[in-house]
Amino acid sequence: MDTPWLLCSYRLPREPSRLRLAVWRRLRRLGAVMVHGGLWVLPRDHKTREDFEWLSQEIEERGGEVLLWEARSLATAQDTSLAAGFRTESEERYAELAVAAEQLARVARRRPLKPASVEQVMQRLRLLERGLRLERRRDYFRAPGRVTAESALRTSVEEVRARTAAPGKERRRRAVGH
Amino acid sequence: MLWVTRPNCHVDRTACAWAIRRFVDRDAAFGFAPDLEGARALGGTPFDLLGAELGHHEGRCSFESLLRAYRLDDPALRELAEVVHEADVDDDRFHTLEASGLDAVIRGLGMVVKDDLELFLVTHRLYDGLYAWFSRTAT
Repeated sequence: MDTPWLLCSYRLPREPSRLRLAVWRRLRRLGAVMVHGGLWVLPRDHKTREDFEWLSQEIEERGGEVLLWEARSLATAQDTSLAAGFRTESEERYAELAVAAEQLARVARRRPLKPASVEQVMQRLRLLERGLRLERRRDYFRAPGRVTAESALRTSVEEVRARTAAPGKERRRRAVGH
Repeated sequence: MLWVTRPNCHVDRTACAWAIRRFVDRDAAFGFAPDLEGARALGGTPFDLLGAELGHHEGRCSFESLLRAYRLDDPALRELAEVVHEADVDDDRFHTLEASGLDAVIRGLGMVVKDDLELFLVTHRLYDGLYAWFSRTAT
């Protein structure tokens, strides 16, 4: 493995803390991983490079200082462990999505579902789908947890669909059964 | 006319290049420079460069700034702008399904097409296609 990396280190004025938080959130959203308490790392591609460049413009406009590098590891083991760090973080986020999807499936199985809770369940489903899309975009090293999260979400979609679609048919079927 | 941007283009810049050539300047030539100063030295109009008018402003990506600056406006372009915005800025402002796909395709093309001018040629047809797709209801 010979991964080209992008490194970012920055300093911001102590106040406002809102700004510090915004930058931190942005980096997390990009899927950047922080090493040694202050160096942010992303694997290099056209998009990640652009992301770091715009972010550094924002930081500088707000009175901060930024250093950006493109770098290659001298030791292969370093690449492997960095990639593992990315994978671990993706893995955790996929696991959270899988848990949330399973919870939702359980809620959907609890019948009967009132119209108000149907709306709520659909809303949560949309959020999960969006979450999964984001996760896939920042899954730089193909974390295996993606499969689990996707299948949990699929199950959840099916459960919700089964409880919400064509309630008339459901009732009829039950009536016939009795 | 010469238009200048940074090298290693992704969604926003490839989309800008497409819109420039298709709607603004049919004979557009493209050059690359790391910053605004470099663009001026080349004597071109800068886009998607830090500090350029055709850049990121008030939450807009460069493609949106370009459409605005040249008053390019139709429903299909607006839809395309949402996709480009989401693929580029990724701030959940629009929930366009095509954005993740476009991001993946252009990122991947960036890995195999090393030359930005060639990347523009390849993505040109791609944006033609997306634009045609978004225009279909209007025809």
